Amino acid sequence: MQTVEPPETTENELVARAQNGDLDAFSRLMEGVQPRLLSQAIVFCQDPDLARDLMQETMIAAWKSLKRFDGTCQLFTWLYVILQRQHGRARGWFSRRLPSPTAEQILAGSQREAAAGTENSDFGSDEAELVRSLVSALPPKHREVIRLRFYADASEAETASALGISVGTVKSRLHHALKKLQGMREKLNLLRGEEH
Amino acid sequence: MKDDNQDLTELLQNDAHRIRESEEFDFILHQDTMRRIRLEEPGENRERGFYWSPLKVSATAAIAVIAAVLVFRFDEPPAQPETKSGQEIAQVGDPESNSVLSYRNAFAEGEDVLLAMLDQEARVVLPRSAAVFESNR
Repeated sequence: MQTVEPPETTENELVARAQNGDLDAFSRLMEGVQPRLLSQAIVFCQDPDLARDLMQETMIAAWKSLKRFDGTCQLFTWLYVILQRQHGRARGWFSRRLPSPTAEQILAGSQREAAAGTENSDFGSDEAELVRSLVSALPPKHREVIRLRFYADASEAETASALGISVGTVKSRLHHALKKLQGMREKLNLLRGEEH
Repeated sequence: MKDDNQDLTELLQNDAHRIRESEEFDFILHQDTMRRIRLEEPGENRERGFYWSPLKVSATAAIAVIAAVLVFRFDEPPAQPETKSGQEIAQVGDPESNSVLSYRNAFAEGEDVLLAMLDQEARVVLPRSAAVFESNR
C-alpha cells in the first residue's frame, strides 16, 4: 500500500523527523530560518564574512543539540539563543570581559557613521541604530532578554523557556534592561544638547 | 516613564523590523553547512574508510608488545628439571666405574679395609637401615 505524503509538511513534523536523525528534514528547516537568522548574525558581527561563519557554527550546534528542543518556544527563538551563545564563544574569554562602551563612545561612534554619510538614512533609522548600539552595551543577561523579546519577537513565556528561567525573571530583567536603556538614552541626549 | 518606555520599545521594534530578513537566502552557505554536518556525522566517517585515532594507536601498540613477549617466551627451550637418573645413582655404587687400582690398594691393606670401602659405597644407594648391613654391625 502506497503512502501519500501531504504536500505541505509543517515545521513540527520536520522538527520531529530531524530529531530522529533525518538530515534532509533539518536542511529544510534551516532553509526556512536562514535569511532571518543571518540578518541577526550580521547585526551581531558587523561583518558579513564573520556572520556567515557564526551562522555555520550555529547550525552545526543546533543539529547536535536538536534533541533538546522541546517545542515550548519557536524554533527561531531557540536558534537565536544558540546564535547569541556561539557569538559570545567566538568573541573569546578576553573580549567578553572588556568593559561595555560608554554613552560618550556610542555617541562618537554614531557621529562617525553619520559623517561617513548615508544620504538615504532618515532620522528614525539613525535613532534605531543608536538604540541597537545601546543594547550591545547592556550587561549580557539584560541584552539577551531585550534581543529575544524584540529582535527574535519571542513572547515572555518563550523567552523564559529558551533561556531556562522563569517568566517572572524575564519580566524583571526586561524591566531593568529598559530602565538602563532609557537612562543611557537620556545621557546621550544630554551629551548631544551640550554639543549643540 | 511609561511614555518614555513606549517610545523606546517602538524604536526597538522599528529596528527589529528593519533587520528582519534584510538578507536573502544564501544557498552556498547552506550547502557548505550541510556538507560540514554530514562530514561530522559518525556514519559518514565510517564510510570514508579506516582512520587512526589515539585510542586505536595505543591498542595496536599494546597488542604488538604482548605478541612480542609471547613469541620470545616460546622460542626459548623449556627448562629441564634437575633430577638424577637411575644410571647416575647406579654409577655411584657400581664397582666397575671406580678405579680397579683403589680396590687393589684396599685389598693390599687388608680385608677389613676392602669390606669397609665396599660397605661405604653400598650405603650410597641403600639406606643405612637396610637389612644387608645388619650382619656387618
